[in-house]
Amino acid sequence: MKQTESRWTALLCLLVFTLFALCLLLVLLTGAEGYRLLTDRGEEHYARRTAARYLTTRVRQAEAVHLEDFSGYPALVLEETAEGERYITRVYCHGGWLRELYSLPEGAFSPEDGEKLLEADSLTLKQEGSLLGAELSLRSGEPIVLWLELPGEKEAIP
Amino acid sequence: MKHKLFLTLIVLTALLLSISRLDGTQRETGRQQLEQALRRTALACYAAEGAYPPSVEYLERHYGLQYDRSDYTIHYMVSASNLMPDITVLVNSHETD
Repeated sequence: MKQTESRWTALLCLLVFTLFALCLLLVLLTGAEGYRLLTDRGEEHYARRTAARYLTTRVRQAEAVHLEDFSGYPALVLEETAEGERYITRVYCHGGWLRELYSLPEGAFSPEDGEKLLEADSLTLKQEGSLLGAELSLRSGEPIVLWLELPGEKEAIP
Repeated sequence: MKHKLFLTLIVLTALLLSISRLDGTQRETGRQQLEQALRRTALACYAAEGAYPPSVEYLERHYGLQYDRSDYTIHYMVSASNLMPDITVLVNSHETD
């Protein structure tokens, strides 16, 4: 009788410990999932904010802006002068990345040569008068749509 | 009795080895995270200001970057203001004399 009782006691202790371990595991998994969602959201916000700010800053800094087809990829071409020399920066999407390629206008480069900036699927560009429309599709979330006034297009207000 | 003692020693040794290995893994993960944070912050600076940050101190002062200097050393080399700097993070060894 005593042996049976001690066995039941041992079994009960084991069950309580198992239950405790399962609850602990559940709390850890829930916390990990919550942390993962938080970091994913933070990542998405960072990508959207940085991409929008980057395109805006680059267009505003450029001396002249035009669109071109860069080996089949729509590219934003930003012109500037440095030390008396004319340079261009091409901004485009290739291989799942928003890229930037700084070079001389006559430089022979391919889309793979651009420096990777942010993960993005595609960049769609269009010009309507003095406005530049850009739609950037990121890996997650809705696409970013920007309308920017092209440099040198502002008319003087009398 | 001897068997139990031997078994206990093996379990303790395995436990201590696992803990020390975990510490190494954590520091390597921290190194990768710091390197990623540096690149992301540098890119955020480039997006906002049109130029990559000139130094790590600039990121600390203006973009709130923080890291434990006793655990990590950052190698930050700027080639041009419009090119991503060469960033390498090294884990400091904590050897006791």
